[in-house]
Amino acid sequence: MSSRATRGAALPSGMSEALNGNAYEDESNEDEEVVVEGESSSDEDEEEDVIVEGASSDDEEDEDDEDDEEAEEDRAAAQSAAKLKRATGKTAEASKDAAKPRKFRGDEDVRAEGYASSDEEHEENTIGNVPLHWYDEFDHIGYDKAGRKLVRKEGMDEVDKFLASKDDPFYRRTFYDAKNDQSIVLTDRELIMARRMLEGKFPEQGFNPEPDYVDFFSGEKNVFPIADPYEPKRRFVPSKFERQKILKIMHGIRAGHVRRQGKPESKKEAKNEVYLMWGEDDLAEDIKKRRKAPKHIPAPKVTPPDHRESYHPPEEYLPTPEEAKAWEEAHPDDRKINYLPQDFAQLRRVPAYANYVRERYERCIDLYLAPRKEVRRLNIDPESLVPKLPKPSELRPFPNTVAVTYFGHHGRVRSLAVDPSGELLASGGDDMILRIWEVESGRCLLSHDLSQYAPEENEEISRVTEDGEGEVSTKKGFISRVAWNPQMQYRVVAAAVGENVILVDVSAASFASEEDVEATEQLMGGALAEAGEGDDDDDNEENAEVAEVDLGAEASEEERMQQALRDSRRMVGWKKDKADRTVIFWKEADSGPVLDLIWHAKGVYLATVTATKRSNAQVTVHHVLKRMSQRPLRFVKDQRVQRLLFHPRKPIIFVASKRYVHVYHLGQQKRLKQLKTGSQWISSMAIHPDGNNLVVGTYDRRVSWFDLDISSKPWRTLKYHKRALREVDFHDRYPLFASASDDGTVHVFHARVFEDFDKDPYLIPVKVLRGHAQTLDGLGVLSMAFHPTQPWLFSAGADGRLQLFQNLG
Amino acid sequence: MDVDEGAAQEVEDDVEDDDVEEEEASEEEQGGAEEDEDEDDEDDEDDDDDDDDEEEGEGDEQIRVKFTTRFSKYRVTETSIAVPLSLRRAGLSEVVNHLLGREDEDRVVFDFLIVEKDTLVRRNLEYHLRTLKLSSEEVLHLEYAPALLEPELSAEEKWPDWLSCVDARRPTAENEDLVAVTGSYDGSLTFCEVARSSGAAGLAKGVTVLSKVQAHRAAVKGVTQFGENYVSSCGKDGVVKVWSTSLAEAAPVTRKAAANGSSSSTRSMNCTQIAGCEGHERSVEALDAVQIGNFAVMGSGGWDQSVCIWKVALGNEDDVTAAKEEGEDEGDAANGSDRKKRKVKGAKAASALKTVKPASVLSGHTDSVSALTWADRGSPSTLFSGSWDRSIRAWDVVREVCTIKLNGNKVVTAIAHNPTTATIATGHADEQVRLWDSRVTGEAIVKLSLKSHEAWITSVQWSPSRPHLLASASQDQTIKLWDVRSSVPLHTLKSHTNKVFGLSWDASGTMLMSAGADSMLRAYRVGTEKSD
Repeated sequence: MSSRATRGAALPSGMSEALNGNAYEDESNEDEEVVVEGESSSDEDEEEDVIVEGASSDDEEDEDDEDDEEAEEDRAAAQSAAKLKRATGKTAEASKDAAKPRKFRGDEDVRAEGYASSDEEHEENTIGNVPLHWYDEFDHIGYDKAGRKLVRKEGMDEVDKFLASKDDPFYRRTFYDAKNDQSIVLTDRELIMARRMLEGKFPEQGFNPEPDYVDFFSGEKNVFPIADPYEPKRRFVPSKFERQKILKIMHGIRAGHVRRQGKPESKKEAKNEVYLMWGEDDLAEDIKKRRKAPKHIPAPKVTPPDHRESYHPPEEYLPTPEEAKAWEEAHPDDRKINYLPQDFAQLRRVPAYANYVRERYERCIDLYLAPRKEVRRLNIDPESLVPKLPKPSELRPFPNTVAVTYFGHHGRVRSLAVDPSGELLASGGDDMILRIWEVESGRCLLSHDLSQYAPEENEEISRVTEDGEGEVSTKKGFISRVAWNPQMQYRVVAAAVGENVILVDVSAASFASEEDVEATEQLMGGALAEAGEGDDDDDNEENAEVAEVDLGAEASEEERMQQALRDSRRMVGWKKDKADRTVIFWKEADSGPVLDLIWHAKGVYLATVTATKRSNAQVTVHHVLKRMSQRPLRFVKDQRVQRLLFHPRKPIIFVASKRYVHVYHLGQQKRLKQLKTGSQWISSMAIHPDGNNLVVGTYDRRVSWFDLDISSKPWRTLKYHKRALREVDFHDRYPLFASASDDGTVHVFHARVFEDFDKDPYLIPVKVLRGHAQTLDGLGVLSMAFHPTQPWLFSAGADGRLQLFQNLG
Repeated sequence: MDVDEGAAQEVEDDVEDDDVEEEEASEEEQGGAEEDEDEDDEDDEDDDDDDDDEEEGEGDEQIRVKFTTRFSKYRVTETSIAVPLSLRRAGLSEVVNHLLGREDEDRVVFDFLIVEKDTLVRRNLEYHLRTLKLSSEEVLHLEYAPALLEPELSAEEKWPDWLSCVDARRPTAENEDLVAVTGSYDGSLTFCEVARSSGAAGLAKGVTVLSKVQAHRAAVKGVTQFGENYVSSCGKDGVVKVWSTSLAEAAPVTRKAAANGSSSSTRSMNCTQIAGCEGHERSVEALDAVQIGNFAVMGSGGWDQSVCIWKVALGNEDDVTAAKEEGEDEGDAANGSDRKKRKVKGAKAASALKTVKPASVLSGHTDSVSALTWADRGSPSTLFSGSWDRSIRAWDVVREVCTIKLNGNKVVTAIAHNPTTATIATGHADEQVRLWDSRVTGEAIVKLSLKSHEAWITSVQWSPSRPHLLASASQDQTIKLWDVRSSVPLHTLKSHTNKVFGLSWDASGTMLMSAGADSMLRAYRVGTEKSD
């Protein structure tokens, strides 16, 4: 250990001499040190060997070699003594130890760079700062770098000097350097500097003794470092401390008193593990997989207390009595704040917090039941979820303005029907007068008083109250339904009054060609002549029992026909009005009031619905030309058939009962489908001209859209009317749909149905027509129909108005 | 320059309200703010009201205008005069009156036409310059004429039923009473005399019923007077009928009675049916007829979507007798079937009745043909038709083809053609009157839309005397007069109390007759002043 102490003492002295630039001394010192170090390091090695048990690794030696090289590079001008030592075959240890003095050399180099001028580099004589007269008695004046003697040159004698003073133009600026034994010629610049020095000025012209202060360490971040020291070697040398530590641990492991933490078995498993070589090494997922604990959910942020929570809040924070009441009445979950701001004049007046115990309890419950869970709140603007509808102006034409009002009716107008060409309009209502109007002028061309067909006793009218429940009231009699024959040649309007179905020849209203007149007359009276006895045959009605005899297969075809005719006679008593030859009427046997009547598109079949208790007698189809009636839907079990609708092309009839729509195939005589509307009471039906989409309006304000191809449940159910729906209708030519309601409005929609199945039909509201007033008993628009050729709409209201809406703009 | 200076000076002295100055003066101040308070929709019909012009300050911009006229008695100097841009029709009228030196009672109200753009001045000049993109630096050429004063209701008469149509085109002498024929919804035609001026006797005295014919079994929808004394009518009974009429002087006794102030007429109208045209399958909505030589050439259209052209011989005794026999045969045939009524109704004219089949049937419309008019009443070669299928078609009657098809997007309810300006005016269900160029064959563009009515247009009629004057009747109970050089109506006549269905000018263009759902026939005198 004494060697260490010596080294410790030697270091400072070596350093100081190096600083003084006494290379000579330095050299000697270093020599000493190297020797000492060599010994000490060997000692150390031995010690270490004891610890590592001779496991001085190859690494270490490599390291040493590297060091060796470095040292050689760094010390190009190393002292000869050190070289000599190396030359004498000193071991690697010794060279390694040379790292120590290099440190000083490094410092010295820095200094040399900082202070040494260029002249000194050329200095050949290396005697140092000793008086030259020491060498007076020798013929050399010193030694060069290699240690050879510098032999003194023969100096110039006086004559030479004189001659030189005459010949040499630079003689005056030449002087003799005795130490290096050479003559030096000063340059112009050096002369100027010398002159300036003589004058007491700074030798460099323009040297600024007081430069502006540059605040290098200003805290501003510079791109380049201000100080530029060498990266010290220690940064590249492995830490000895760490090495010691590691060795210690290794030693401990070997000795067995340091245990590793991991399980040795897992190593084997890891070997068997299959890696996805080309898979993405998704670290995050990997981490997630390893993690088994539930996701960390941070505690909700508590809002900092505000003024309201103060015991004496400013007045604006105090709730008004209404606010306080609203707060009291609101459900605790709906309250925005869970306390009511209260005002106390002084803090000491504040009572104990009443909710303290409860809140603590709830908090405990919260913690115990851990109800904290992540609630994803979607921050979506509800507006953006609404599909963008095209502007109504882009969906023109549609009816929007009242064009013509048809004046004449008194009381409610209950039903209307448009002539298939669109020239005429038929309407009927409480005043029992069937009126035929000219559409364009609003002129009543024809009127038929049907009051004689009204029932004697009061009649039950079923109506639906606001809450969708049925209500029955009575009324003397009215035209409940009007239907215009869809064939142009038959100028016949069918009307329903009480239990009677009345056919009116309206060819007088507008010109009919002879063929048309003949066709109409045939429809009205032709067959009646054959069945002429029907006129007086009053016992038809008495014979209420309709024989529904199932004829055996052996009965001949003729017998069948006869039987059918007899059956139909029993069912229906056709009569011709004696006074007015243009009217025929009938009353079905064993029936109640006629609820609905529709013409088949061919114009010869008329289907009626009567309110009767016998479910199989509700729907009757009359062949008007042959005066035959039949009940093809005998097997209808549903008691309350409301409306009928023929399919536009197929032999299919839609029968709407109170809750269901039954779809019957008339040819096959079987039920194809039963559509469930999900509402309480169906009021109306309309079928899209393509025949695949059926819309049902109900008294409980719903509109159900059925796609007949897809489902027996509504594709969409809409609820937009404020009161019961009365009528729905599709336009035959334009993509228009309308619904009329008791709230006095008619809603017009742009309804487009696509051929291909992947596009849903769309229904865009375009206009609410408010031409009708809602009457006191809660009735509004009772009937509505589109004009057959124009985008116009007729509506009839309980307020007695009958209007045409046209498309303007 | 002397004249100009003198005239201008005069104006400056006399016109206190308008800042009319010479050009030099106007150059001094140009920085004034242009007030644009005349943007209101006021029609400026009140000619005496020029108070608003008075308020136009000194700072108004001015424009140099040149006044010309075709009326020699109103002629003023043609040198240009600077007038403020804020002047409206009344103000300009005032200027001209001052130039003419006319004072209070003498004053004449003028209408001004911007000659370059063929536009009538209906608002202030600045508005017109802006909309017509004219420069205020150049001289504006204004042509003026005495304004059309508000038509004066001269006669009216109540009918028992709605009137659907009226025609007063029968040519009469200037001083004679008009002969008008009306069609009613009860199927009758009524001939009446309408006085040209409402005398002291009052409005009701102006109309004298000459005779009444139960012409159709259903409502009459159209009636036309053509030739010297022929009438054709059509109706919802699907028949077009041609009538020959003649005025007959009544017995002198009645004349005396008339002189005594009795209401009985001094003349009566003999009306004989010449022919019944059967060929339409549904009701006939529109009809127009002209006389060519000895023939009546008629076009009719209706709910059977076809246009029928009829050629009916008018005429001489031989024809009539031949037709008579024919008609009787027809009648007998009709008797057999159930069609007695027609026979009975037509009995009055049965002596001269003959049944005519259509000369040609033009099909192409896909909905009711609601309006028809001949392009030129002199030579019936082209027929214009308007339909509920929203198209307007021109038919070459000779070749029986559709030559022009103008596609609108609204139902056509009325049509009128002006051969002078080659303009078709159509009335539509969407409350507008549209003007089309009848010469355009390709892509048709509406020349002008006249929007002021508030219900369906029922009839449009061009004035026979003034090429730019158009009358339109509507279900909004009004009749409007338009100068088609401006889209603002000239006058609105509001005397009807229900829908107006029929409208007709007399042959001279001085009287306008209207008929409507209030069962009233009304006659208006429309003032005219001839240019020389």
